[in-house]
Amino acid sequence: MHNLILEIQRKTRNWALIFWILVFPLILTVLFRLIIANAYTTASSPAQVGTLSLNNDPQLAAVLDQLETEGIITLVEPEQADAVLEVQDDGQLVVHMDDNGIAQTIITAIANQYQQTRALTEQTGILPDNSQTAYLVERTMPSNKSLIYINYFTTLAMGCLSSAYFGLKAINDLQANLSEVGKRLACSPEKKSHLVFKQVLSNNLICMSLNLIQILVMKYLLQIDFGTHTGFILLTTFLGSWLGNGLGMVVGGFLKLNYNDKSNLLTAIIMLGNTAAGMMLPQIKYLVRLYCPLADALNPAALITDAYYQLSFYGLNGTYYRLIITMAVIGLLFYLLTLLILRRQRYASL
Amino acid sequence: MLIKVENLVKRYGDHLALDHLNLEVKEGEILGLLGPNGSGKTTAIHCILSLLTYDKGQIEIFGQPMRPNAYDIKRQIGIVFQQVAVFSELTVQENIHYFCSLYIKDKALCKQYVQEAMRFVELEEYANFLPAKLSGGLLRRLNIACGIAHHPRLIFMDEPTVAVDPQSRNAILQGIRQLNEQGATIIYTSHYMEEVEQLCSRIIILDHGQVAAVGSKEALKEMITLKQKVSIDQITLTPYQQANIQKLPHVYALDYAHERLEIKYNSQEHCLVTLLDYLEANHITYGRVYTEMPTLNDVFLEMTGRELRDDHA
Repeated sequence: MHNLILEIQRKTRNWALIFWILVFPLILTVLFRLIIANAYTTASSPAQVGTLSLNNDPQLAAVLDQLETEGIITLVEPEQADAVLEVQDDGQLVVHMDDNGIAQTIITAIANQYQQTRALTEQTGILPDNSQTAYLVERTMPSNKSLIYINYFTTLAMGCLSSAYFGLKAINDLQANLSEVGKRLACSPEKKSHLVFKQVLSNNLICMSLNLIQILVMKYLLQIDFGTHTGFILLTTFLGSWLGNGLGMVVGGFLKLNYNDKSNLLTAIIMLGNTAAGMMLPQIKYLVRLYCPLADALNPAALITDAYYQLSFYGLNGTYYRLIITMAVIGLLFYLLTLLILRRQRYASL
Repeated sequence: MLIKVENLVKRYGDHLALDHLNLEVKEGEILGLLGPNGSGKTTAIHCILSLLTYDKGQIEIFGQPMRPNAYDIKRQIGIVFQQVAVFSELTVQENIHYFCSLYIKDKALCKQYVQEAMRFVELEEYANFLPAKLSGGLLRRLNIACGIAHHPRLIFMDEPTVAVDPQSRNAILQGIRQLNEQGATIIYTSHYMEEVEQLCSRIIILDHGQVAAVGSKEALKEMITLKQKVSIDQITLTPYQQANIQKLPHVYALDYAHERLEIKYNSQEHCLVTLLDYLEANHITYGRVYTEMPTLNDVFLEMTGRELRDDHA
């Protein structure tokens, strides 16, 4: 037990890793909150939208109805509107406006976003009909908090996945051919499985604590809504660290590269994963989901981001449970593979 | 017999690192494993500890076969590695405690052993220092403390004094003697013959993965022809005089170059007196005269034709 306490003490003194797990993601979150969040604010009163030939596009009608319900726009007669949306016979959406103010900009943005999203869904045909409207509404909302929340949750995913560096260091310390301490541990009367378990436990405890600090800052200082399911927020955080730590261990155990190269590889995986999960531009996330659904389904950053997203916007549902089960299973696979590599390991050379 | 190694063969690709190595270690001795770089000392240690796979052979420790999962055997072994093996994030005391607690599960006993280990290596005043703040010699002492804190019955020390200042080296050697007096059996590898001569009750000289010679330092020196070496500086000799000196009793080798004479004797009897008598009788002037008894390097040189150390002068 004392050994475990020393393990935790040792790891909390690694300031470089704590920077990547807590400080850097927090900096990003604050920047997103201060800079990008404002880009999604709406005008003080809803834009007034007129429509022509809407029966040519029933889905647009449904989207506009939803936007009106959300308070983004008000549907009025064309003569009273800030801008008029006309659906032509060939399905093209045209915006007519006499002025060029904030309201017109919002309406133009809605029209463009709708057309792009519609075109993507039609090309891929992936989304079932009954979710089409909701999906289109979500993507079309100019003040949609869901878009900026994707940015927020990807920074949290980055923090969770950065626990991979702890996992990598743990494997480095356990293997006799990678570190001197590994030699000493290999000669000790402690079973490899116990040593690995101690590493996994201490890593997860520390990383989860750091991620929780980030959540607390996001929730109470930056006023980001995580939903009301506190227990499941904790569970998601734990599974995020679990997944990240496992990723680091399996990269450290399997690849025949030096420590720096493995660390760089992890950085690439985490950054790429977060970009694909929508960190830089939330729309990328949907493109990945549309064009490469398997990558989206297995991307650790996307799994974590989507899990928080589901909790925040939709609460507990089948999608959420699928996500956390996937995270748990992938993480477990990583740990089992790691144990398989390390168990009774002897070396041809040191 | 504490350790028994039979026919140990270890290859790194095409290179034969250990060539049917046989060795035995008796309880209570300090066994020296001496050999030049690349002779197989560290490889032998790593194979005995089950860190390395080997191609052939049998290894027994405490009468039982040694395997990676032989935890009862491992519990009684302490290792001081050639490179410092400590955690950079833990203090001196924390490092010793960490490694000691892998062997000693009793909390109070572990704490006591940690204090004893710090006292033993004289690191008490550095207890709260991180390794980065320690000098090379102090780091080596910490390395030793981490390896012996749990009072092992058998200790492997792989060149523990490499790159260490003379003061720390003496302290380390003193500490090793103390450990042996307290009952530990020690296997000490080095390419510093002075340390091995000073410390070890029995010496195995390794060369190219094989045992070149085994015995106490006196027994090893008895095995070779050289019994005494006399060197004289600032002496001028004609070839005739050199030939005459060569004929003096017990002289078996003579080397004269750059006004320096070196003579090897196969006996210690009156050699210097006889030589000086000859020089006086022939009015030959000379500078410094010094005699040397054979060293382990001479043993190695005679047996293998090579020096023990690359930098040996």
